[in-house]
Formats: sequence, C-alpha cells, structure tokens
Amino acid sequence: MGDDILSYNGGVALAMKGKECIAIACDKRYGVQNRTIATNFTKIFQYSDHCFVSFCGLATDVQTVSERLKFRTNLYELREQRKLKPNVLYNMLTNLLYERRFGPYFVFALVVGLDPKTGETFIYDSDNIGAVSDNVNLATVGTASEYIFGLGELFFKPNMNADELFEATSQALLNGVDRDSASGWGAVVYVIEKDKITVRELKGRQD
Amino acid sequence: MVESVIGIRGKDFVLLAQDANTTKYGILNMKFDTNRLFKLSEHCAMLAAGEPGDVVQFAEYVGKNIQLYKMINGIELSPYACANFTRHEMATSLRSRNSFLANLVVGGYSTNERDQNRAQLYSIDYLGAMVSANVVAHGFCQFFALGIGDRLWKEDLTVDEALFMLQTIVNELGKRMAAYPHCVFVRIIDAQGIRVLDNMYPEKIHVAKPSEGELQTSADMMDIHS
Repeated sequence: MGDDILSYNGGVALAMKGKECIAIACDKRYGVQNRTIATNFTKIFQYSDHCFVSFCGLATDVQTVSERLKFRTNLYELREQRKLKPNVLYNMLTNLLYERRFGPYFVFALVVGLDPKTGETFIYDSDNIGAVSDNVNLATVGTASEYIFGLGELFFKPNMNADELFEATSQALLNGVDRDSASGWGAVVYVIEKDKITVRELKGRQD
Repeated sequence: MVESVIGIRGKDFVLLAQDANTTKYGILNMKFDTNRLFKLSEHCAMLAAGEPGDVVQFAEYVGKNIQLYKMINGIELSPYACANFTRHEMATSLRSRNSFLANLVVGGYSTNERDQNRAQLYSIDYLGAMVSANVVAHGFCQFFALGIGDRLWKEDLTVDEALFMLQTIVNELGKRMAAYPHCVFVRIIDAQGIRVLDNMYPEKIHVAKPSEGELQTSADMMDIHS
C-alpha cells in the first residue's frame, strides 16, 4: 500500500458525453492510506466557461498541478485576449506534465469541454506524463477507475439528454466507489450544457 | 508521529492545542514545556510537528516571510493566504534538495468582513497537501482527535464546547497513548487576536487495587497440619 504512490490519497473522477452536454464527476474523500482525513476535497477545477479538468492521484500534486495550469491559462487569456478551448487546454496540460517526464507529477487527468456555439463535446484523458488520448465518450481516472469504467460502459447510451446523462454518471460513480476503500464519502457532479452548468452534490454511502 | 497537534474550529474562533513533551530515542522525556506554535500574523498562527530541525527551519522561514510581506506591503495576509503560501513553499521544497518532514496546522481569524467563514483552519501535511476542516490533527493523536471530533463537533461550536471536546481528546490520549502527554498548551485565535488559555492535563486514571484473593494459591488452601 505504501509503495503505490498513486493510491496514497485515493480519489476518483469520471466523465461522460451526452447530446451537446457533458458530465464530469468526482468523489470528495481526502485520506492518507486507510485513514480518512477530510470529506470536502473535490478534484474538479474550472479553467474556462465550458472547460473543466479533474486531477486524481497524490493530493499535493493535484493542488500543485491545478495551480500551475491555472497560471498558464491565466497568461494565455491575457496574451490572447480570448477564452480557452478544450483542445488547447488539453495540449497545455499534456505539455506541462511531459516537462517533468523524468521526475513526474503523480496525477492522472481528465479534460472535458463543450463548444457553446456548435455543441461539440470533448473528453480527453491523460496519464501522469502527458500521454494524449482521442476524444472519447467515457473516461475515468483514479483508484476506482476500473470499477467505474465497467459501470460507465453499462449505463452509457449515445446522445443522452442532460437529465439522463446526470443519472448515468451519478449511478456509475456512486456504485463504483462503494467497491473501493480509498474513494467515496460523497460526490460532486457538474453537467455542462451550451447555456448553463449545473452542479449537484450527491450523498452516497458515508464510508 | 508521537507529537500531538490539534486544531478545532468554532463559531468565530479557532482553538490550537499541542502537547508539550519532547522525547528522545523513543523513550526519554527530555522537556515538558516545548513550544510548537509559530505566529504568522496578528490573527494567524501555525502549529508544526515532525522532524525537529525541519519543523523549526520551515516554520521560521515561512513566518519571517509572512512578516516581510507585512513590512513591504503594509497589510497582513489573511489566514487563507498564509496557508496557501505555506503549502506552496512545502510543495516546492518537496522536489528539491531540501524537503521538510513537518506536518502543520494553520489556523486564524480573518479580519476581512466580507469573508464567509471568519474562523479558518487548515491542515498541511509534509507532502504539501492542504485541506480545510473543522477538526484537524497530525500524528498518532489523529486517530483520537478526528474520531472524537466526528462525534462532538457541531455548527456554531462555543468556546466551552470546544474546550470540553479538547479535554475529552486529551483524556483519551492520556489513557491510551504510551507516550503520555504530561501537559497540553492551548491557544485561541479570535477577533481579539492570539491568546493563551490555561494548560490542559489528562485526567488521572484510577485503577482498583488487586484483590487479596489473587494472593491465595491452591497449596495455601490445603491443611497440612492436621
């Protein structure tokens, strides 16, 4: 348990696509191996009107990488005088992670976004050294990612509307974290649509 | 791990408690009045525990830099800003030549009226992971403090309720920890600043004398002088 640095703090996140909407969800546990220290540690960060990133892994690196990425995105917005697009954010993130190829940050990342004009949806995931992925329908990161992948594949249907998407995402996450001792203690789900973003907190099993 | 640092957040105040022992070689009690509190600003302070040299070096470095900010800019940093600065220094030093094995509790009262929560409490571990909570602790006392905190903490905790919670934790530490905390220093941070409250001591454990019955053996009960 002490050897696996990616499961030292625990945590999990999931993203799923719908029709012109995206959902991203994460658990709220912060623990040290088998001890739970806090239950308000959310792992989703907003970088633009419709761009969100979730980091799972070592808690200190979750905070450090999210802050360093915020620094770069702030500079981008100042220089370019425009907001970030999801694929640009993804490229910035993978670049940031690969800079530390031989002394890496211990976080896996999920980047999600929506183009408000066209409704095009984006979900990308990345390992801790910036391996790029395709634009996928479903992605998970974290200690319970295998369990949630299985449930996610089960609940996913193409072209879901926002309510169906919220249900599918929530059920996949809540039931998946019940099988993992290092994740859980509540969840937060963001549903991103063209004109609004809805944030909901889920209760779930408090263990 | 053996040193206790505990923080409890209440309505408009933060209570910071630390055991006052210094132990050496795992068994010797060297000192009974060790100070683990480092003042960061008029309304913010930090408790630090861990590797002895690292604790003092890191805490003094962070404290002096926060005081420098006040001298240069003329205003004091809020507890949130102090905690984030501290976390940043800890995270930066983690992947450098000099990392610090120090676990911290940063607590304070924000003098900004527009803050939602005026009393702020943060826990920062030696890797630089920061979290805000109502009850925080580091070391073996974490097992006791968090569990008792889960049972006794409530919204709008008063000072007396928080002191009762702390006394319960200290009693439990005295009863169950082999490294007995002879004395616990208690400080409170509220709108008036940082004040020192009375020391807290674990309650005395009373154990019944062993009964005389255990002194009798079966041989005693045989009458050999018949």
